[in-house]
Amino acid sequence: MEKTVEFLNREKKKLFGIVHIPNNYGRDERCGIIFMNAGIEDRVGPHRINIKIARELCKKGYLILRLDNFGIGFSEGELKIGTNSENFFLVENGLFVNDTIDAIDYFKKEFVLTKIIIMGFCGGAVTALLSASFDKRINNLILLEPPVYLDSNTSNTQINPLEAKKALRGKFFKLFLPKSWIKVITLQMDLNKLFRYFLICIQDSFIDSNNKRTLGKPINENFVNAYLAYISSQRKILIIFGDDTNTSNEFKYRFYDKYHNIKTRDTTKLIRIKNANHEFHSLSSQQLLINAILNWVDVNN
Amino acid sequence: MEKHFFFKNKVEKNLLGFLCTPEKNLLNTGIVICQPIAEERSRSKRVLVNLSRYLAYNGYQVLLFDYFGEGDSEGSFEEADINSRLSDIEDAIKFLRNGQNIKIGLIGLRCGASLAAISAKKTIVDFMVLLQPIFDGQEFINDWLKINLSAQLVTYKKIIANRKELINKLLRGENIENGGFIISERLYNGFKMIESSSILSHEFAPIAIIEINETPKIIKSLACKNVLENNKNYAFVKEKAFWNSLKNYNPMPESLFSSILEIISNFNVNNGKNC
Repeated sequence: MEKTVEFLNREKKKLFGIVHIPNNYGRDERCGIIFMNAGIEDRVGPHRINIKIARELCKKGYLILRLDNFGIGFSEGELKIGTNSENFFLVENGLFVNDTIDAIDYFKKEFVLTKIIIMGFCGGAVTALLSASFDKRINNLILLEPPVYLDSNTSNTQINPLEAKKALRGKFFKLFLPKSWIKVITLQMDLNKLFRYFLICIQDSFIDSNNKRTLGKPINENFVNAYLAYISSQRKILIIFGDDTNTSNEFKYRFYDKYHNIKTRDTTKLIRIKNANHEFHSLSSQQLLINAILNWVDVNN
Repeated sequence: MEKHFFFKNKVEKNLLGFLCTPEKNLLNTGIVICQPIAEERSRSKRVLVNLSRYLAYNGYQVLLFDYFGEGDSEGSFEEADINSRLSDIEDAIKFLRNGQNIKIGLIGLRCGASLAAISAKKTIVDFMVLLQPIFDGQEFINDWLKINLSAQLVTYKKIIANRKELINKLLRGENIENGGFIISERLYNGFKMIESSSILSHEFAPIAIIEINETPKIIKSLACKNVLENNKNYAFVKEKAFWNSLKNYNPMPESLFSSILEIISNFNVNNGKNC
């Protein structure tokens, strides 16, 4: 069964959500899973991915709350008018942490829960981690494609060499298409941007592997500190990426290799899903994603 | 006052509804908002929620709902098609009317606008406001399939099946994955029936078209000439395409909201006749 719910956050704004209640609800261990908004998208998620995951988890007996933070979906309040990047930056710095804590208060009380898992996708994953770093009521975390860098709305953002190489590869194959040449001649193609990517790739070939980690968008120190705080509490975390996404590469080269050690081995599970992009568009990647989440929740619940 | 709930469509599937009712100065008019589909729905959601609240503040009862297979409603995207969405619009109108003796108007955005216009042939409504409607369903699908083509380039470093081959697959009854959504043959065939003559005919209910763009383009189209000759049923709002925007965020496009309110108020004053 799915039902609509609403409750007040600490600013007295109404927050909206959908609760998925399993048919056999009444499990002895009262565990609830809260899904955060992906960036500033509503509780449905990109191509309804949150619904697909929630409905499968619910079939297996899990209670789910898909939440809309303030300013999103039907919830009250408004986000900053401007660019999406500006709002992503705010999310990555904890914009929705208070709403998450308030949602936990509501969910635990309303459904008499003893255990809480938070799942977040992209910006939602950052919110989940930041919240869990100080709210010990969060027992486990599931992070999908979490960005370790900070978004910015300035054009001075450094471009990661991996991103530049990928972009150039994509453009290379288009060279064989006549309409690409028409775009060049009619100045519809951003040649400055292409030249910049080319320079970055040349520069990258002269930089040693240690220094490569500092290139790209600035790392989100809040993410780093939250991860270390969370891990030190011995709670479990599942992190899932597409296998060749920018987010995945940034995470590996600029974060995981540095902070993953013997202490995190037992608590952190990292999965990369083949042929999955940032939003898990393909049916096969969605199925693998759902199976990975189900298996991990079953084992760690 | 706002309420959200699930209501049943005619085949007993749950559809999510969001009803905004004025707290005072209630007018004798209800409005059903017909959303765009797929990712355009996600990107325009907040704008349509705020539009619902804005119109309710100005005296209108407004129902915003998710079609079967979309949003929080029951079903998967591929189970639904154009006909199921048209049927859901009928059910939403019936739900809002709920035995009241009120006027009913439809506001549709993009594909929702096209669906609203088609549904008015079967269901009695008093007026329609079409926001940036899709006049050519085949062209919309062709454009939408760019997502699949881009995905092929990223995964395989080349195009395995071009647009024509993808469409042939659909016509053979195969589904196509497209940006996380599944396009079925039924959905594709349904889109082919969306064309300007089915939208611009206003013998069933008066319509107004609002073009939302950086510069006016629809008015130059020959297909619109018969409706737009006096420009009275047409308005242009200079706004970025929020249903498509990955960069800009404006959930309260005031010029759009006030244009819609003005048009609806004029429809009401003229008792539903063309302005």
